[in-house]
Amino acid sequence: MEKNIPFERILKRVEKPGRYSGGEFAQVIKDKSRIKARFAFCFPDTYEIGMSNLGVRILYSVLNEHDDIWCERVYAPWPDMEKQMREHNIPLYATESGDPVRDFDIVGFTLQYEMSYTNVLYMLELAGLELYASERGENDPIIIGGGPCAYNAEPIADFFDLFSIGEGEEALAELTKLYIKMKDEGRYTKSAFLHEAAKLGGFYVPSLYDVQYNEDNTIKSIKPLYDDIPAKVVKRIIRDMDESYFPDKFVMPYIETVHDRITLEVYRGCIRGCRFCQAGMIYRPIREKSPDVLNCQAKKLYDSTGYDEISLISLSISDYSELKPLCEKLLEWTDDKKVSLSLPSLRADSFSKELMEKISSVRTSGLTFAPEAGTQRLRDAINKNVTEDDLMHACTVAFEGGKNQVKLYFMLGQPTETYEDLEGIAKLAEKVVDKFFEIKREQKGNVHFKRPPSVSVSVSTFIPKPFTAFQWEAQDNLDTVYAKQKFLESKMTNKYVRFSHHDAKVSRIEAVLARGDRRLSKALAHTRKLGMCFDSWDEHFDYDKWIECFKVAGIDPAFYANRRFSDDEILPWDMIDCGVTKKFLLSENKKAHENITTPNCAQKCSGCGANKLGGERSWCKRNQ
Amino acid sequence: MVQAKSVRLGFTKIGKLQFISHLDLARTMSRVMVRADIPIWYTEGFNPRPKLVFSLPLSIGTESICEFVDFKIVEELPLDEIAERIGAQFAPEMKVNGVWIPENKFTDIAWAEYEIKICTPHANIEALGKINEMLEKPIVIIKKSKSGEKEVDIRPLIKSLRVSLDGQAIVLHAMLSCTSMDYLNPEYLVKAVADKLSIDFGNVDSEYYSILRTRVKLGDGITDFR
Repeated sequence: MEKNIPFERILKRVEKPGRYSGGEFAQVIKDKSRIKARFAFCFPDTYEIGMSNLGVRILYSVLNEHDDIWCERVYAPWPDMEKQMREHNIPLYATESGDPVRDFDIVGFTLQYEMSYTNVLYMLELAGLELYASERGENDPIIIGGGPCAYNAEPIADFFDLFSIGEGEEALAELTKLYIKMKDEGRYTKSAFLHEAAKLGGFYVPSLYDVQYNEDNTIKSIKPLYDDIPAKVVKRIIRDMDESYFPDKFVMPYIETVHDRITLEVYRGCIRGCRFCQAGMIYRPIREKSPDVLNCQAKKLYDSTGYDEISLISLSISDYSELKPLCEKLLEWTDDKKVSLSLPSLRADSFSKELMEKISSVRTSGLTFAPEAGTQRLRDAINKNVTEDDLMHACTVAFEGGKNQVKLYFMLGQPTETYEDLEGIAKLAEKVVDKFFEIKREQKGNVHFKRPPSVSVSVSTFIPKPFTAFQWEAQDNLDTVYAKQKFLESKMTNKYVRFSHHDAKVSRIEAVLARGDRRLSKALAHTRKLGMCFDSWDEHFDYDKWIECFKVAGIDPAFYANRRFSDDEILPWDMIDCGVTKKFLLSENKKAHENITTPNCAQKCSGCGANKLGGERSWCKRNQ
Repeated sequence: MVQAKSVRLGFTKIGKLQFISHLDLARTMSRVMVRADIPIWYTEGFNPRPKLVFSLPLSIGTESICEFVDFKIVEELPLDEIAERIGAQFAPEMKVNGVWIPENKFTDIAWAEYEIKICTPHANIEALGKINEMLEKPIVIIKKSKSGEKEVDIRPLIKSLRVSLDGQAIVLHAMLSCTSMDYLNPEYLVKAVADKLSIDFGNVDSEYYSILRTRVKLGDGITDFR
């Protein structure tokens, strides 16, 4: 790292210097003189979280495949490091070269959760860049964003030059190549570049769209400023996941990260269609990878990383049509190499006992299950197609297998919810406890049952998200959420049941940011004046500061969080096309209020619209 | 399969890697062994891991050119090939110093030599005198531990200390006890010297220090640990 000497000296003064030191095995170092575009890939959270993200690992590698592009990593420094950096005039720098981020050509932020927005601004400021895109100069880097929050990035649109909508494996290199080409041909200006990028498809340039508002503060119109700019930006997808780029090595962190292992993405998308779930919609259509391809990628990564754990990830691993052949192929060599296999999101009832025993995620003492709602009526309304029988069956398998801990996840405040549904949560938890003792009685004397059961119930708050069937719904106001939490607590009387809930205030801010429009940027800019950062961390989140920011910007948070948007109103994210149609989402919303379920993609195509994007090994094709 | 054979790896860990903790190093080394495809012996039991035994743990912020780790190999493999393979899997600021059959036990280690540089405006002949003076009396420092603070005389744990000047820096060549019973972290020596010279390392631009472990010795303080 070409850093001035104080940099290494100040690392002795911070809590976790390993976050900032870099120098990892397999980091990509290139000769600057041969590089035409330098790309700073920013993760607006700590190193430990950023290094765990598979998307970042893929995009870092795919960009570095190109000889004329050098992509480096940047993370948000923890406040103790921020203090040192400010004291010694060290601007935000990239991990590999140590060069200031403001000297890069393109600076990309991955937007994984709304609560990281304050960190995006914090990082821009630390880099010495103006927050507002309109105030940055011709020689400042192009600031781009991507990831799930880019589907409605309006609250931070004024700070960005461009958003990449959808999957970035092909799009990011294409964009960077356009930048290089225009520079080479001497026709680069920032505005010419952005205009051309907007025509590539899958890129949303907020400055090229005009938004008008009605007197009631709803949106009157969203219009592109030029005829050749698309009125709707269609998301990019990788059509064939087997052919898509996947790294054969990872940068190896020294310090322990959140997910410090080989992660294999088994498929993209989700067949389930839960009505509150954004991931289930925006990653459609579902596209699978073949077991042979996955097995080969796993082997290569094992050789190049030395990791001793492989984790199969996807939105719901049990829905992978070739799960059994994949596991069998992997177990052929992983056992021998002492590599453990973990399947987060595995449903305990979906596997044979023999296979389960070999998989480490089920070796632990716990079972995790997300019924999301306490009664079948509400589960139908939200289209969470699991039944009480499914849960009881899973518990039976788990308890018989010697487990005693069950974690249950629920969501409070979903549309159509009643107090009966809430009470159902407590009842369900008690039934799990009863199940434990029932099996204990059946298997009298079995040593498994020495420990008492432990059922933990974790309840989050419903947040209406763009591109879901519930995108129009209102979030409960704080008093209602508190009352419901209190009610739930009073019903949790069983001594084997532990109850916990999320901070309702965080969920409220998240709701504002999730459904916000461009007018929120003023409030977000103010977060910098108050020094706000790391809002996804309990110890940093300060609700009162957020309210102050809204006040300064003249924003009523209830307008975004607690209002039911009308069916025909123009939504802030209406210029984005994620494949799934508004018509489908609206019909799903109607069905929710009638407690009617929708079959999953493996059962029947319900015509969500995502199949227009194409896709190999997709359920859309199989069910055509 | 041949009988498992014990092997010792000597390595260097400097630069940015001084910020990597002992625990993180151990995890990294396991992965290095897998990448290098060393036929290493694994621990038995529920969660098998490559069996690696390190010599002296190195504190965060201390560099070293003489670290050691022992392991067993279960297949015949030339020692220089092991060295080469492992070296290829190290990041730039780690280096293989050699691979050999252990000659001493880790418990034979008695002393470690350090080169400590203290950059300070106080770097002058007078300061050297003060440091030498320190050695004539007990050097009492306050050791913090989980059970509270404790006063300890570290003088008996210092076998030798040579001081010199190098521009704006005071250079200490110290041989400190590092048995498991009496391990003297060089940070304590720095602290004692800093207190004596009224250095508080408050201004990182003009006052800072670095510690490099240079050698590890047996009980006589002369023979290198092998």
